[in-house]
Amino acid sequence: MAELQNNGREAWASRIGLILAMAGNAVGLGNFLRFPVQAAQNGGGAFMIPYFIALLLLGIPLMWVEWSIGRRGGQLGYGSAAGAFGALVKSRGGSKLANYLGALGISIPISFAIYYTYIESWTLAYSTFSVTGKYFGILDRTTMLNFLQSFQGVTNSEYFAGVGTALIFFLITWALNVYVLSRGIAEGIERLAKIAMPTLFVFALILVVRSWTLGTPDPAVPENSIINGFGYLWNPDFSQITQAKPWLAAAGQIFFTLSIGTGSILTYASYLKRKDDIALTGLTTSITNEFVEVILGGSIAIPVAVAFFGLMETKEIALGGAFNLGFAAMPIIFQKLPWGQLFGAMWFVLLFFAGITSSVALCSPAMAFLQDQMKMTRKKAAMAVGAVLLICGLPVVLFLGHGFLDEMDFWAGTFGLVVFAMIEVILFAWIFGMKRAWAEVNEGADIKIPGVFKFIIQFITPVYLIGLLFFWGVQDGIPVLLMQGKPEADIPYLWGARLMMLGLTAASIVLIARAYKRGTIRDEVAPDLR
Amino acid sequence: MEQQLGMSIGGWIFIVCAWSAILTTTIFCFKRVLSTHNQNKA
Repeated sequence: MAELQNNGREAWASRIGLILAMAGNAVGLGNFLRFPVQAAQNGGGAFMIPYFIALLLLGIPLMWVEWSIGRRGGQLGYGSAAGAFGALVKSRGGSKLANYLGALGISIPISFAIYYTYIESWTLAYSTFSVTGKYFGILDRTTMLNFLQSFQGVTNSEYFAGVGTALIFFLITWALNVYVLSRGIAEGIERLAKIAMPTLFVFALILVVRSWTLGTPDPAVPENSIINGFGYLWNPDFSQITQAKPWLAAAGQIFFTLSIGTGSILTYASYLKRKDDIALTGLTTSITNEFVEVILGGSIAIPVAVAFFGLMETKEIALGGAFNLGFAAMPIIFQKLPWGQLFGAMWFVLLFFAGITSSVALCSPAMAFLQDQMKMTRKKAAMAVGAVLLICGLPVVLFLGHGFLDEMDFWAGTFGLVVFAMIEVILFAWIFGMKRAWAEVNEGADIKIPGVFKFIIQFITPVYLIGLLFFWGVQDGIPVLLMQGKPEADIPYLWGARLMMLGLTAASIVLIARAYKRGTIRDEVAPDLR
Repeated sequence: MEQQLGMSIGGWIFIVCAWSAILTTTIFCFKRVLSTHNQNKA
């Protein structure tokens, strides 16, 4: 039974459920695929230095900032940044501006969810293919990549006649997401987390044990061994960390892995009660994510790839990106293992659970806004969000080969997150004021946060974010904006993706204006700031 | 062809340090969460 807060909003049924849901929000495909590739390519063990520094100066502080903004917003009846942001500002005009900026806290996560749901459906498909053995018999990476791309409808093969199978799995995944959202916080999201997260842990642990006990799979090639795989990931190359690239990569990885800047943490935190702890729970969520990423994720894909493909080929695989590793390399590896179908199914099911706990989180800011500000019932809100996911998801499915997904991934899933986090920390630390902000973070705290984090949140984190935005803007943003190096034929599709994201932002702004008219976003300074 | 010769001492130091830090913090956090589980908040 869902609990109700004083103002009629839903609430988490249990603290463990909240932690698992928040951890599920954070834990995603990136923990198992992106992290090992980033670490291996950026100095191995030495990457842990910029990684842990980014965790302490960026990840954990921003976690606490977003949790705080969310809990406070929830008390005032706001479950998304549209409302929660304005509540941080002492003037009505400024508050209104902040709330309109909060539109990004709806459009960025829903844009992210649109394409992420499609990727998540691939993991469901491959879980099925593992059980049925559909990809068994394909033992070279080129053919396996062709299997993936023909599944996606990008190329042709004997295995798939067009994009129909991918579409079916997308629809099933979409339906599961909408169902969970329609059940609400306690009965939907929390219940999903209580099933998915322990299952994910168990499957991952089994795969880790399998990984560590692999030894040398082919005695004729002794250098292809699991210990060499771990060496590739962990042996430090200090020369790399004197350059900017690993520092940028580490900051980026911390961002993605903790789901900071998507607005979903803010929404989940809005279902907390006033005196519920943020400090310990936020830290627990972060460290749970790190456990999954560094210990579990770091022990499977890359080391196992080295054991079966060798170091040189694994480096090529890593350069090919996370999908290459997860969907082309791993299926071949499972075929070479006894009980390979079972391990393959476990791998893709755990990726699916990692994905769905994240995708429902990404839909939750829109859900919260529609329920709290548009006064829709939960089921109607789920149908509305579902309609957006479906209508906007179809171009992602159909135009994958034209860069549609990649374009969305850059603006919503990369650049947008950092911009949003920047807005969050400036509003919280500088507009709301660090004295109030610090009191807010520590309200109900079950641990004492070291005082140095006050300085970090106010000065270090914003400067770190500005640096990140600047480097990414110059290095990636401008080339992507100008579509440099993109095939002429793809340009209309890239513009299509951009227009879709702009359209979602415009729609969010229009809805915020309607909320103001209805009085469900109050045109006033928050009571405690008057 | 480049050969990786297992885990170096540096590799072992990094993996042990990283895993220890994460495991210690994880255990601390969950113990604390469970111990505050039954406390009532005003």
